[in-house]
Formats: sequence, C-alpha cells, structure tokens
Amino acid sequence: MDAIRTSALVKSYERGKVLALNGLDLHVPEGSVFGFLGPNGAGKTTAIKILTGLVEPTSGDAWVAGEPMAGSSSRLRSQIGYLSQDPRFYSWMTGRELLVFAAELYGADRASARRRADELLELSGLVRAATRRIGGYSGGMVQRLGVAQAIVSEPRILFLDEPCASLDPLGRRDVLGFIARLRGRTTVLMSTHILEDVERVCDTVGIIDRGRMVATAETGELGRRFAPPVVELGFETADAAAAFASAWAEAGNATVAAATTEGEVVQLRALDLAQARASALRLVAAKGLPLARLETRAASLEDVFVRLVGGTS
Amino acid sequence: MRRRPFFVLFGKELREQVKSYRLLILGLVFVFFGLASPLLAKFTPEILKSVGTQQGVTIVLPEPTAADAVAQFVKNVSQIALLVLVFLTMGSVVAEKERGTAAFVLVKPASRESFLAAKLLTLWLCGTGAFALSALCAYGYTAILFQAPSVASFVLGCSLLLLHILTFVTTTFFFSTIARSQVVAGVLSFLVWILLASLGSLGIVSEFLPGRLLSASIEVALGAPLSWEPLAGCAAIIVLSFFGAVVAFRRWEP
Repeated sequence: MDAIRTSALVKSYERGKVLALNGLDLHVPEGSVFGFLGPNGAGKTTAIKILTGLVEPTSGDAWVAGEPMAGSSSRLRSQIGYLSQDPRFYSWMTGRELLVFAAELYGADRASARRRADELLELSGLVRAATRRIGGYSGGMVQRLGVAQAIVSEPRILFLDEPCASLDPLGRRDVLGFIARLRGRTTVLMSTHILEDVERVCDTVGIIDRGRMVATAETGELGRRFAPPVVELGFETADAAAAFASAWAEAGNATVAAATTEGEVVQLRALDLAQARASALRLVAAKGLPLARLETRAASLEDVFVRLVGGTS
Repeated sequence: MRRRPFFVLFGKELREQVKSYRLLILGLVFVFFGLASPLLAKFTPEILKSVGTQQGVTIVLPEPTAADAVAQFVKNVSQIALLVLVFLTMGSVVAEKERGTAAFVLVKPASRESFLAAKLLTLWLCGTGAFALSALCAYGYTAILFQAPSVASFVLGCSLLLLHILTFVTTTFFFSTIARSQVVAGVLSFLVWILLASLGSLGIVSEFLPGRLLSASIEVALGAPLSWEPLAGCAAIIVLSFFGAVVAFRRWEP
C-alpha cells in the first residue's frame, strides 16, 4: 500500500507562467525510506509543501496516509512530521521549550511532552544545549533540533526536506543512521541532492525533473533500469587516455558505447557490455596504449541522475 | 492534562510577550502616561504662568479640573501609547511569516484560525492589562491632585477608550496578516488611522467612527450618557478585521 500518492499534481505560480509541478505522479510505499532526488528547482520542496498541507495544488490529487489532502485536516497533520529545507524556530525559546511546545501541539499533556522532549534531546545530542536559547545554536544544532521536532509525535509519515544540508560529516552520519532506523516503522520521504545520502539510507528512489517524475525504482534496481553499465579503463598517462578516446571515436565505436575522459580514466557507457569490453581491449592492443586497469561496474546513482536530468542540472 | 492547540499557542504567545520584554515596555509606557497625564494637567498652567511672568506677560488660565486630567489622559493614551502598541502589533503575524516560524506551527495539528485567534487574544490581553494599570494610575493621581471622578463613570469612560485602542490593534493585526513586511503593515495601519480621523466631519457617519469614542470617553468618565453608535462602529471594524485576516491567512502559502 502507498503511504503517499499523488496523481497529475500541478502547481503553477504567476498565473501559470511558472510551473513548479507539472503533473507529478508519486508513489511512496508504506514503511519505506524514499529518496526524492532532483536538481535545484525541480519541484521537490513544492511537492513536500503540498503533501504537508502548507500549499494548495493548482490541480491534481494527493493522498497521505490514505486520506485525500484536499482541506488538509488537523487529523491528517497529526500523522505527519516535517522538517523544512531551512528550519526556523522561535529564537527566544530554548531547545527543550521548543520540543515541549511541539509535543503539546500534537496533543501531549505537559508531563509526557517533557518526557518526550528529554528523550529527543538525548537522541539528537542536544542535552547540554537544552536550556540555551535557540538563537545561539549553530546551523548543525538547529538542523538536529529540526529533526527532533519532526519526530516528536512519532509520526506515521515523515517529510524531510534536505535533512543533511547544513550538517558536518558526523552530524550527517548521525541523522542518516537515525533515518535508517525508522525504516519499517515510519514512512520517510527525504528530498536531497546528495546522491551518497540516498545510496546510504533510501530503499526507494524517485527522480524528479521540471516538476515531473522521470524515474522511480528500488535503489539497487535504478542503475540497471535507467543507465547502462560502465566499462572503465585506467591508463598510465592522460595522453594515452586521450589517444584512446580519439581512436575509439574514429573507429566508429561511439554507437557501441559513449566515451568520456577524465584525466587518465576513460569511461564507456555500454549498451552491450561484452561487445564494448572486447572492442576496447582490441583497440588498446592495436594502438599499443599503456593500460593500467580495466573494470566493469553497474551504473551508479550518479550515472542515472546525470543521464536522466543531466541536461537541466 | 491535554490542552487544545489554541491554548498551547496562547500560552506560547504570552511567554513570548514576556520573554521579548514587549509586555514590560508596553506596561512602562502606559503607566508613564497614566501617571504623567494628571500631573501635566495640574502643572502645565502653573508652568505657563511662571514663564509668562518671567517675560513680563500675564497669562490668565482657568483653574485646572479633574476634567482636564481625564482629557489629558485620553489624549496621551490615544496618541503616543497607542502608537507604541501599534508598533508592537504590526509584526505579530508578518514577522512569523517572514521568519518561517508560522510554517513550523501550521504543519502541526493547529488550525490557521487558532494561530490567529491566539495572537489577537494575547495582544488584546496585554493591551488591556497595560491600559488598566495606566487607568489606575491616572485615577489615583487625579483623585490626589483634583477631585476623584465617580468610579463607575471613570471605568465606563476608560472602557470606551480601551475599545478605541483595541479597534486599532485589530486593524493593525489585519494588516500584519495581509502585508509582506512589518513596515508595510505599519504604514497601512497609520493610513487607515488617518483616514478614519479625517472622516470625522462626515455627518452621521462620524457618529460610528472609533474617533468618536475619544470625546465620548471624556464625557462619559465625567458622567454624561453613553451613545451606542461608536460602539457598533468599532465592533463592526473589529469583526471585519479579524475575519478578513482569517480569510487572507487561509490563502497564504509559505
């Protein structure tokens, strides 16, 4: 069953001149950690704002936790948690006060709100800053507080808009580890443009470009479905790599696989892996080029991303 | 005990007024004018007389009365103190929209109506509290320096003045909801203030305007009967401003 679903979702601004979403069809399976990938301005944040009830779509339908978004009832909002791209909180509150306030808005009584706040302060590593004003927090601390407030009610569905954007490597590792632990219990929709984060925690990935979904698949399957495998040749010198690439094009092999060169490395994106590998080895031998290594690998998420939205990012 | 989102928001608004020192500033300003108004009424003629004597001019002024003290209080509170209150109100909604804290609250199970109602109620409560302190000071000093007005009449007169203040607080709140910046909200509020004041000469319409409450509050505080027209006018402005704010805020997208 889908925890989040949208059908032909459209959002336009300035009387239709700017199209933020252009018929978005999104399916997020229940209990999954869904990576919502896309270049800047692709429509990720707009889609999340619609799904959290902050913004009304121009047309189309959306369902969250089985309920239609139209009207966005408080019952529906009680089932979701949200961390915005640039989280802002009341600077005069302390971290602990903010979490108690957030818990109470979800209907917790004062005692359980305080208990929950203390749990989350512990979990987010903010115990020592709990009684400090948020105005004095660093960007990373605000981000961790943001994640904490988003899960204060143990929501069924969690929307995280660029959750690791302003975190240092350790903070990023903690947040990603935390998101991974929610798998199966909470449906997480996480927008990001950091491909490595998606590969680390997401089981399903959706790629959005210009307001439309261009690909959705399980993380491991995405490469197989949307980008050809890669033959990578490492030469001893950059000149050798350049000579190979030029000979590859002259030999008319571009139809077998497109070649890209970066320093001493040539990558061949092959539709027919065996043919590309054999042709490459024949060419190396014929030209007597100093080859250091040759390896084949499945396309990475980056390969898929570049292939699908490379022209717009 | 579980509290409804409105009461959670209301509690947060009250704490914000205290922690940001807005309540303290408001209280001090109003108390200052409560204390200063009877003093000014009492001593201004004496100061003028002494200035005139020094320059060889004889200034003849009538002996000040409790009516002058009440008039001075109404004038000060309805101008300078109200100005401060409008300054503190003009950012109430638009500042949260600008900072992004409104979106943080609105994705939680709190309705947009309760978000606005908690804010307006807090502004009213703080304004009323500060005004009540001010009125108490003004009454005490008037009683000491002049003759104590009738308590019932003074309370009734002050209630009219308070209604005048709350009307402008509510219109400022409306502009704070629809405007894109605090400055725009403030400017629009003052323009409406000036507009309503300039409509005072429009015959029957002027009877319904909030400005009519100012003269009425002095008259009533000193025992004159109360007319219903300005009350109805203010009630209509308050209701329209609040519902206008609700309609605009429902459409607002962060």
